[in-house]
Amino acid sequence: MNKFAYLVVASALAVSAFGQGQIDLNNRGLALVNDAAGKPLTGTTFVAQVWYGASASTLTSSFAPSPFRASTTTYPGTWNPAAVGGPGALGTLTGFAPGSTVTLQVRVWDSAVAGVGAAQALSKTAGTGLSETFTYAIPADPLAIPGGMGGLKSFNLAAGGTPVVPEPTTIALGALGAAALLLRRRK
Amino acid sequence: MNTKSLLLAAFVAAVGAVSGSAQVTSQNIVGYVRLSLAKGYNLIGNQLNNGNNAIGTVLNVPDGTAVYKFTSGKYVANAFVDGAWDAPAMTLAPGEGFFINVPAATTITLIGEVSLTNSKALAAGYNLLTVPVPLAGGLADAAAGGLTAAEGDVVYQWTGSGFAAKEFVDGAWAPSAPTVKVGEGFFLKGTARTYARNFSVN
Repeated sequence: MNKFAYLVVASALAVSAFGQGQIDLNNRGLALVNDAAGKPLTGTTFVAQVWYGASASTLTSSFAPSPFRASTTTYPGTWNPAAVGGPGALGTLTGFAPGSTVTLQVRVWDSAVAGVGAAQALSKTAGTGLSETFTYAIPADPLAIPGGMGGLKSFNLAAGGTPVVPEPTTIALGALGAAALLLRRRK
Repeated sequence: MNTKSLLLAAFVAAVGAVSGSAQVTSQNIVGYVRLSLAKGYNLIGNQLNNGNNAIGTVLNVPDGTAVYKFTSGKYVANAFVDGAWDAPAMTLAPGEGFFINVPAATTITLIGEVSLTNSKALAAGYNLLTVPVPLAGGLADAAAGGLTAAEGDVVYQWTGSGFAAKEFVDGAWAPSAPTVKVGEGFFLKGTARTYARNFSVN
């Protein structure tokens, strides 16, 4: 076997050995997420979740949500995948081999608001954010450092303020009040 | 990456007379390696032992720096953001290579003791390494890198924008034998084995 053939075979073996592509889940130094007023978003209760799939209509996989940074950060508008509870800076794209292309979307919401999550972000509920879909070509070279968020475009949270979602205790109090009114009317 | 300075070793030999005729010599070579980093990705490695070799004690870098180690065929990232490392427990032991991405050109200084006995288990496939002692020269030369080449080995060296490969086939390096600078990291693709590089003052 000549040297060229040896290298081709060795490279193919190396690529197949690694199986699934990696992605850098950071947007630090790239496009930012802004609040509804256009100011780069901060606050650790806000989270960003990266969804991925083969196309914009099949974004069925996701990573754990990453919290945004504290208000004192040097990098407002960025989330921190390496934070506790986050997915880690580099994620594995299950089902996507090096050399393939994956479609991505970022969904943002305030985790401190009950009843709000990725689904609400997808439907553009006030106070949540949804990026345009974008693609990432996973490097075929196993030594290439992963990218990922390079195609992300900056986006704002949907205007309209934080949605008011009753807490369970509020609902319970309301039910008690209604029951009391009913009893009083019967008497 | 431009290596500014080789090891400036302070050779501390504490000599004491013990039991009359016996003489015990303590040999500790401490010093530093200063590396000039270009903005963006640089492939370097740690060649000095500072004790725990925690990333925060090995590297003094500007905010926004990210480090990438390569373990079991995958990268592991760690960023220095808002004055803290994401994973402060990460270690950079002598012999470990890593990518470092700096937001602007800078110079870093790695400080520690030359590790006299070094043995690193190489996994089959890709390993991100540096010579575990601060010596420049041929990677496979006994007086420099000390790597025993094996048939099929490929060494990948970072050019600043990609890799240049040198392979060991039919008992010879092609297109030429790899040479390394002080503090330079490199990938070695080969069979599982041990890379031993001991260092003697004599």
